Amino acid sequence: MHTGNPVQHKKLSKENWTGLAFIAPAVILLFIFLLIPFLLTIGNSFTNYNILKPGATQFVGLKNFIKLTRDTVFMKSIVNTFVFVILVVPLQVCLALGLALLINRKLKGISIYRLAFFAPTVLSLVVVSILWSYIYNPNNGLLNSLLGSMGLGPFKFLNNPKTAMLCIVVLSAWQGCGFQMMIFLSGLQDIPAYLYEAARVDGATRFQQFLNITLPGLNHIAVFVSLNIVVSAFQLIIQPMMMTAGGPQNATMTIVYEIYQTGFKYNQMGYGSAMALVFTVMVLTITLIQNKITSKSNED
Amino acid sequence: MKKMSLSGKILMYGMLTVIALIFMFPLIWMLVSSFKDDAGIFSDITSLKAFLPSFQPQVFFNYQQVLGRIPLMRAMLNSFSYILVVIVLGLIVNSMAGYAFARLKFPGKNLIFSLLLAVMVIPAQTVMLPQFSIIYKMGLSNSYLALILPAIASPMYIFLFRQNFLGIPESIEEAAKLDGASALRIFFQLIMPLAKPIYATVTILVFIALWNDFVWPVMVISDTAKQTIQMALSSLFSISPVNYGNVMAGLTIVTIPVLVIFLSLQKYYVAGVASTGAKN
Repeated sequence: MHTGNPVQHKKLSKENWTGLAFIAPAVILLFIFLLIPFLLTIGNSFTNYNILKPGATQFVGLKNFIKLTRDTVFMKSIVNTFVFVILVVPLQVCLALGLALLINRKLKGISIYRLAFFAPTVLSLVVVSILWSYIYNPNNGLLNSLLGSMGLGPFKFLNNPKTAMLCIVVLSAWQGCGFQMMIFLSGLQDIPAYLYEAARVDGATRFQQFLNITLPGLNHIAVFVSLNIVVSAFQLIIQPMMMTAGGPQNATMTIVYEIYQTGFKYNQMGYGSAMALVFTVMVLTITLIQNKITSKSNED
Repeated sequence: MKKMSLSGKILMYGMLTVIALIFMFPLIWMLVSSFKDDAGIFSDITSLKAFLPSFQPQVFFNYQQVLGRIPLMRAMLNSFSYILVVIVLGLIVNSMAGYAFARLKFPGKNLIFSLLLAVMVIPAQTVMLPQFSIIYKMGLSNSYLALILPAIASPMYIFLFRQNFLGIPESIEEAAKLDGASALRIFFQLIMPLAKPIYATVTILVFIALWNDFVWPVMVISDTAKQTIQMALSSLFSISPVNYGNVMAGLTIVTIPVLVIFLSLQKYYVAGVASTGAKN
């Protein structure tokens, strides 16, 4: 691997050996369970690999990718995933920012409120999905019963292809926003207090202070937070898996759910890997944009 | 900051409490419903009574029933045991690698470290299918090793450990080195105790991530006796007859361990939130 490097031919010192020994367990594990799988995802995507018929594996060129472009369910899952991302990101960022502004004050017992808003983020998505299934249930769910007593509904929420994804957006933003609230909160506390004092001296109203000091001060964090939510929103699977099985009419089918179904449920590893590769390219593109923006804003 | 008037304070607390209650309504509903039978849940559900507790003579009957319906305790034990193994091995493996990247000299160090940074951005979902086929070929399907082995090493935690060790002044190790202490001894006796907070942070991050993990366990575990906690919970959701009270008790039971760990190690978890930034 390192031929041509004269240092390599020297006898390794004791420290060299120690260093190699220290990283060996991690490197071996990452090699087997991360690097090889990554290369296999690429390799398998050009084959018809089926885990139950490994002997019949053949190189099929770009066939899987051509098939993908005609796969209406996969195309729908891409659209659904983008819809989810486009809806959940602004909602979750606004919730997180709102909560951060709300609890960013010196009051006795404020940490209890902070805990309350943060608590849903440590719940599992399975717990949250089951809980909200009962909230959204069309027959005896909490929401329909409460609305019904006001003479509204009943709404089919998760059983209606028009509203199903929206319902998942709401619970996902609710579950996740406490996490970004914490990041916003640390950003708010980093804004120097003298800026506000100076603004008050100049007679700026609370709202003007918010527009001209708070928001610009949180700019970098907002970008960072949004892109993080984008990346994790792309990985949506558990909520539709638990709540809707991707329905109704594939309205909540997502990319990762489709990868799981194709590769794992139907054993089409080759075709599933092609989907996974498309997914990876999308996520890595966002990550690259994120790195570009973050390094640029660090230079500012 | 200006001192707030008493009425202003009361208004503020009132507003905070109302917003917190609205925000917490699903959890409040979950908790109070876990103490009601289904007749009680459905008679209360049309009004705010849904969020108020009402106790039956046998307070914990839903909890007793749910433990009889599915092997929830067994699943909890399964999750606790495999997560404990992952945490212990993961802390050692990742922190040793982090220490090597922070302090030791060895051939290929920069190359391996850049590779590590590169694979850090690979999403878990990209590799889940081949990971599954590797586990399958190794004959590890349906074993705890399938849950443990892929979870031990993590580029992100190696990176976190490295950053943390870089912050420890080198002079501390120099003295030990002059005394002839080996790197292994310096690491375990000097560095590890100094870096306790980062170990606590990684412990809680790993615990919460694995306790809540669902898709990977579903892929590799098929034996009911080996189910993880989230798998058991999802089976409770799908078996009939559906009993809201039972399910709410199940959800509460599963949530308690994460809440306890989170509350007791809150400081370290928040530090982890700040340093990793991203989570689902």
